[in-house]
Amino acid sequence: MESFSKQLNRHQKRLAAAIETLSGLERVCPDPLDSETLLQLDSVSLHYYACEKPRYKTPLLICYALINRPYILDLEPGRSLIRDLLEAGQSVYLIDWGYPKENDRHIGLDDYIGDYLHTAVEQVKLHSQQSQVDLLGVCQGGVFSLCYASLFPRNVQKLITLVTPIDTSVENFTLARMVSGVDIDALVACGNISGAVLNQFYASLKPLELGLHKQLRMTEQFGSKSAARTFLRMEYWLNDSPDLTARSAAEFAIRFFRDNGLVNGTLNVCGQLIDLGQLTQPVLNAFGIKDHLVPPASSAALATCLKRCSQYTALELNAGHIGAFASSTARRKLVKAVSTFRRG
Amino acid sequence: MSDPLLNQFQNWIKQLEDLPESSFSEQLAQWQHWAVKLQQHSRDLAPDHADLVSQLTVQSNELIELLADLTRAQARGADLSNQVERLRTNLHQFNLRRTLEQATPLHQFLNLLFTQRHQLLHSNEQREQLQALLQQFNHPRLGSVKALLEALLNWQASISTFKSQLDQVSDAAIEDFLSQADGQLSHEELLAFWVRSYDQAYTAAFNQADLPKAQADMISSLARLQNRWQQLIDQYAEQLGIPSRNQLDQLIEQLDQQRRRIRKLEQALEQINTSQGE
Repeated sequence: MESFSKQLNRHQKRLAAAIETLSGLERVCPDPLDSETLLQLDSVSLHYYACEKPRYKTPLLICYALINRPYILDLEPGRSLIRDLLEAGQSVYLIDWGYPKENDRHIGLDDYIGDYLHTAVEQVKLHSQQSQVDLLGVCQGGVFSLCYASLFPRNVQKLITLVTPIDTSVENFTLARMVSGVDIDALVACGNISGAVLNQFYASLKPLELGLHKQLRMTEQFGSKSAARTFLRMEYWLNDSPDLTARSAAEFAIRFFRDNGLVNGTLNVCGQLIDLGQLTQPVLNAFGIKDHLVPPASSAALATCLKRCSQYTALELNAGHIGAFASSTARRKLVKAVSTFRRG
Repeated sequence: MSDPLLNQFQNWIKQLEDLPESSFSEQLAQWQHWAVKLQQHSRDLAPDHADLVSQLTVQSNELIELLADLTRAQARGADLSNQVERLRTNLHQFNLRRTLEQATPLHQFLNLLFTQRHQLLHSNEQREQLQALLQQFNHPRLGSVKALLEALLNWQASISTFKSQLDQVSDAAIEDFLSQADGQLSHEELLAFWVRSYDQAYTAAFNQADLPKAQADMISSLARLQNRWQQLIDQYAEQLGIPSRNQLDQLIEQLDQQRRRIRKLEQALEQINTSQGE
């Protein structure tokens, strides 16, 4: 057993190293690429990242979740899915849902998918002068993308889903279990679900690991300036959590989570039931095999839902939920797969 | 150029490595002296990250205290079972201090439930006394107040139920820990092992019915409590002629309906313009 002196010495050295790193470190914020804002509609905006040497005619629109902020896809140089896609010759459009205010509490799934996402797609078509888009949905954004392709099939050429939940009944889907029994009507009567509450909710999926243990081991994150910058940017992003509008939270909790709407064909958006069995577009479904937020089995269930899909490809990434696009190895594999998929 | 205080700290660490080991309590005392100094001078050490330096120092101190406590326990001949109890006690104290110091929003106090080991809030007897008191709130005008207090009691009851579920999670985690942990693990490894055991037991419990239900009931009853509070405020606001939240909510919903009508018209107009352009 290691002596107490050695343990003490090790932690003191870590603290000293952390302080030394921080003493020479500037204030750190995310360092995203410049983009052009093509559209601003209420709190929603559409951004365009131009590729110097585009190799694809069909534009790629990324649809992120309503939870957290989409700049995690472009956190810093060397940790940016968007930069990697640009380097692979793909111009990128990104829809940013913004920060809903309390008076946005009646904005629901019909508004997000049927209005904002649809308007963004039409704008992308106009800007790129193409008749269709390739849609890349991340997590809940993947659910939105599948719904959108179901409602407006002519607008979507190909679909890419990344760490997207599909089947909410699979084992170890703690998030789904947490949501299912809640009195949603009582919850949304309080108004929007605050970002801070959502953060606590997600941290409670692994209460000690993501809570106390993370705090106790934090000095380990500051061994170097680059590691410190990445950690601080991640923390900035984690705490920069928008509220969820009351209506969209209720609708998603009930129609998607509780009713397992995508699998059972009961998810109603814009007056239509979403039937994944009718989708014919090629689909690339990427998910992390270490994902504790959305179990891989939940994402993989998409395969059984797509009955008429012309080409279905599953891509397993050796990563967790955020690691699927934040970790270098997983991201390289993902970009390569997306490039091949879009080209084919 | 690094700060003189940091240089002194680094030199002191180096000296300790070279000198023969001093007593346990002397090492801790010297460390605590340094911890206080580093916190006091955090702004000099890292002007752009003073709060973070202070936070890291506090957290390092907490971890070292935890390791020191485990070392003392081991020196007294504590077995793994006693060590995990010490670990849990230390984690809860750290959790409590962190929650109080950060002046966190009310909902974050619920995080204490993951490490709290004793009964919370009121005993059953006290709850029954409060229930009996509430029965005296019979006047119609006190209806909203009574409903609010009942919602508060329901929320407290739901927390107790959730807590008892978490106690079962802890029991399962302890069983797993004791059956699998090796007595040769370092204290840090023991901590990591406990964290893993607890989180795994927690996830496993969510695959059963009771824990999700207890958690859902706790969240639902908190939401109902907030709604009762809001209803009470709305009631008094209306009496004072101030628009209530409910009235504002209806207004916002009407505005949203108008907004959707306008959007549909805009989209229809765009389509007409597009087809005319073609």
